[in-house]
Amino acid sequence: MSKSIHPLIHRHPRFAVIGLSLVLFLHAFGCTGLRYAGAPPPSYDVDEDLKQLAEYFKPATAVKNYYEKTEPTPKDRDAVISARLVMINLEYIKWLRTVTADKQFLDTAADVLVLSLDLAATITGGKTGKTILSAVSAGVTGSKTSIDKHYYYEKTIPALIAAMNAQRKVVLERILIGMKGGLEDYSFEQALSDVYEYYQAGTFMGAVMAIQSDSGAKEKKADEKILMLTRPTPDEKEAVRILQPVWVKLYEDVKAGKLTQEQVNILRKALQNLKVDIPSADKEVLERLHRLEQQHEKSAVEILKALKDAGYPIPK
Amino acid sequence: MKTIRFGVAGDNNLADINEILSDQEALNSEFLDSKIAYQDQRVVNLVTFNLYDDASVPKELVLKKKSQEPPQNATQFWEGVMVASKETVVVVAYRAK
Repeated sequence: MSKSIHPLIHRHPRFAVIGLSLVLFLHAFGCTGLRYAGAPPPSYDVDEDLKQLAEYFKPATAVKNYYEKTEPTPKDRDAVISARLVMINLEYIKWLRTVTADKQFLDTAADVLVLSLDLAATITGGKTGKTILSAVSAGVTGSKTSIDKHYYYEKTIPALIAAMNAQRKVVLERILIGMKGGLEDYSFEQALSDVYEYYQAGTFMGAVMAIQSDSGAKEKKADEKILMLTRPTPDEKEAVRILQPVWVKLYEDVKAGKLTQEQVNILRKALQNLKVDIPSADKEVLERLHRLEQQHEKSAVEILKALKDAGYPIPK
Repeated sequence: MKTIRFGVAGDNNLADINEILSDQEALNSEFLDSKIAYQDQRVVNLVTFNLYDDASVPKELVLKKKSQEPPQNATQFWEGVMVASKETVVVVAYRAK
């Protein structure tokens, strides 16, 4: 594990801070303190159900059972995979309850667990198993509502859990699609590898790595401020509508080599009105003004006004 | 052509996110993809756009949950996870034909 963590922390010291915060956070509250996230212990006993499930699924989760088959079928593969998914999901919910009290996160995780329980019940088909599974399913969804949403709420944790839930969904979807195919399309070994990845996605370190490996986040400098897009005001929308034919006309003129020096001078004046840097090359002036709008450096309302004030004939 | 990233808050619902992205596309730019990122202690959708070098506007953008029926006369061009209504959802992006 250390091999995979050290380079990450070395390259991105802020992950060391997050990691240290997590260690301190978990150490400070301990496992039992957060066990029920500030709520009384639920009537539903997760540990007991996990024990029952483990007993029921123990034969199904064993890899050797698959390899012992002389002619394994997709159903044999799916029996092992679905059993493992159930176990991972139940452990995930158990663990999640110790670190967050956010109902939304628990809802999402519980929904995935219920999905995997249904899947396992369909594949295993056993009546006893189905009874246990449906009881667990009802227990999980029933008990999550008793949690105090605001207890032990911590800002870093929800962000990581959101990333974990998201990454788990991506991997789970891949597994579910794979399980629809034959062994030649989705081998047992590939399925096992995906299940392991699914488990990894449900860990804090997996979440940190997912955020770090996200190409967007990776390119983004720690202190880089990303502009948040919001819904434009009616005035802004109207200004965008009015400006569109202006850009069309100007770019057509450029393409046809008909952009006059007078037009360029008006565009320069507009940039001057907006109090921004003005490129020295004439051919860059239009792009500079257009980019101000595209990148939200200036609002469409401001650009429209600057063009009007510079003397550009704005169409109605 | 220039590529740029913006953030879109995850407390918007999917319809609002669709509208916000479409409004950006009206500024002669094209939505490419979205990734979940962490900014200012919250999870946001980090959306990538191509900024056109002319006044073109891409065809209509439609975002749907993976579980929903795809729109007619549209082509899927992206699929991934977004945060909408504060929940993670698998989203498919379509472009009108």
